[in-house]
Amino acid sequence: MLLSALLGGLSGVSVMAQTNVYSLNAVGYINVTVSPGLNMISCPLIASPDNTVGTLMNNSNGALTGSVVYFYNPVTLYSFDTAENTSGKPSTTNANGWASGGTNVLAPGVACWFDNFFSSNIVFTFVGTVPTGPITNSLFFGLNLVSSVVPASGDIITNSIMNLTNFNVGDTVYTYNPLVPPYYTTYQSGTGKGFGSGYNGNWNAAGDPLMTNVGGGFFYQNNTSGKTVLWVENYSVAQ
Amino acid sequence: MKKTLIVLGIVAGATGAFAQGQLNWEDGQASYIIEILSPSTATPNTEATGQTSFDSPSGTTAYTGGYIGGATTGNGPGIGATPSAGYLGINYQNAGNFTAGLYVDTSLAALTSDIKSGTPLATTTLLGGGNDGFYSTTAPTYTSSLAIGTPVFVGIAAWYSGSSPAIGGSSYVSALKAGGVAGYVESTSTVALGGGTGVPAALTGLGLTSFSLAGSVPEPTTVALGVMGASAFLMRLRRKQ
Repeated sequence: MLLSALLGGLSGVSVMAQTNVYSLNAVGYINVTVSPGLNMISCPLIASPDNTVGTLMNNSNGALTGSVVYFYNPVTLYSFDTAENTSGKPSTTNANGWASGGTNVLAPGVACWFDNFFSSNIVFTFVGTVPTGPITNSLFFGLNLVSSVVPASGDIITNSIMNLTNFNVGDTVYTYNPLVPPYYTTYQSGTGKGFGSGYNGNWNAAGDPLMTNVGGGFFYQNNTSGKTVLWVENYSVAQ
Repeated sequence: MKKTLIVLGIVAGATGAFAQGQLNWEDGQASYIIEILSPSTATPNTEATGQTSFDSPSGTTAYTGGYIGGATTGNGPGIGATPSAGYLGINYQNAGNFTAGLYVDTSLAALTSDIKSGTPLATTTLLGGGNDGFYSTTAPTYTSSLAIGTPVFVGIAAWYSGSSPAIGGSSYVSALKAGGVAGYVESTSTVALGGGTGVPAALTGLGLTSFSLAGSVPEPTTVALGVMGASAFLMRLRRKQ
C-alpha cells in the first residue's frame, strides 16, 4: 500500500442507486501533529464543506488563539491569518475564530506554515475524500509551498504515486523539521557532473527529497524561468 | 528563536526576483500588543509612551487618555476615559477617525526622518468596540523593496484622519501640519526582514510600545513664556535705540 498507513478509516463505496452510477471514494482521515513554533502542514484530503482554514482548523472555541497560518504565493508572497478569541482583546467577530475570516484554502497539494503559539503539540484530524485520478500540481518559477495531493509520505521522487520525476535540473527542495536544528534540509537536483555528488537528473548528496510525514509539506524552488514543472500524481482506489 | 534562525539563516535559497523581504505588522501578535490612546488630559501636546498592564509584554505605564475607539468608562485601571469631544473637538470614541501607518528604514535616524517628513509605507485602520485601542489585527503583510534578511528599524504611527473637525491628515506629519493630533513609536532594535523560505518577520521584542496621540500646538505656558521672552527682547532693542 503506497498510501501511508496513517490514512485511517479508508472505506466507503458510495452508491448512487437511483442512476445506477457507482463511484468509488476513498474516505478517511489523517492526524497531523504540529509542534510548538513553525510547522509545514497540508491536508491531502477533500474536506467537507471545504478546505478553508476556518473549516479545517476551526477556532470557535479559542483553542488555537495566538497561532498563525501563513500561505505563500510565488507572486504575491505571504499572506497570513491569526487565530483569535471571539471575546476579549484582541478578538474577532468571525465565528470560526480567525481574524481574517479563515478563508485561505489548504487544498490538496497546497502546504502552509502553522505557527503553533503554545508550548505543547496540537493534533489536527483532517477528514475527507482522497483525491483520485491524475492531478497536476503546477510548480511555478520561484518558491512554491506545496505537498502531495494524496496522503503519502516518503521519497518524493521514487514513490510511485508522488513520482516527482519531471523536475528541472537545478531545482531545489527545502524540507523543514521543527524538532531538529537547523530545521531545513536542502535538496538540489543535479546540475551536471561535479556538482557535489549529483548528476544530471539526480539529486545531491542529501539524496532524494523526503517528505517525512503525511500532512507535511515542502518548498519547491523552480529555478528555471518560463518552465513550470507539472507535477502529476495519480492515485486510484484500486491501488 | 526558530523564526529568527529561519529568517537569518535559511533564506539564502530565495534569490533574485523572489528576495523581497516581508514583515507582519499586525497588532495583537503573540507577545506584541500595543494600544493607541487619546491625548493626555493635562498635557495634550505631549506624547506619552509605554506599555500598560493590558499590553504584551505588559508594563506599568498609566495613561490619562483613553483607548481610541473606546468609551467614557470601563477602560480599566491605569487607562483614562475616551472622550467623544476631546482635545481639539475630536471624537476619540470613533475609531474611524484615525489611521495607523507603518514606517521602515535601515537606520534609526532615517526612520525618524521618514516619520517626521515622509509618508507611511502602509496604512491600516484603528479598531473600536472589543478591540478599542488596537490598530488592525488583520493588517496585510508588508512587502518591502529591501531584500530578505535586511535588518530594519520599524516605526508605528497613528494620526487623526477624520474630516470633522477638518484637521485630519494622511500621514503623521500631514495630520500635525493640519492642526490635528498624531503619535508614533520606534523600535529600539532591528529585525531582519523575513519571507522566502522563512515566514515574514514579526514585531515581537523590538521595543515598540503603546502611545498616546498629541497635538503640535505649544502648551499655553510655553506660548506665554515665548511671548514674555519676545517682549523682553523687543524692549531691550528699543532701549538700545
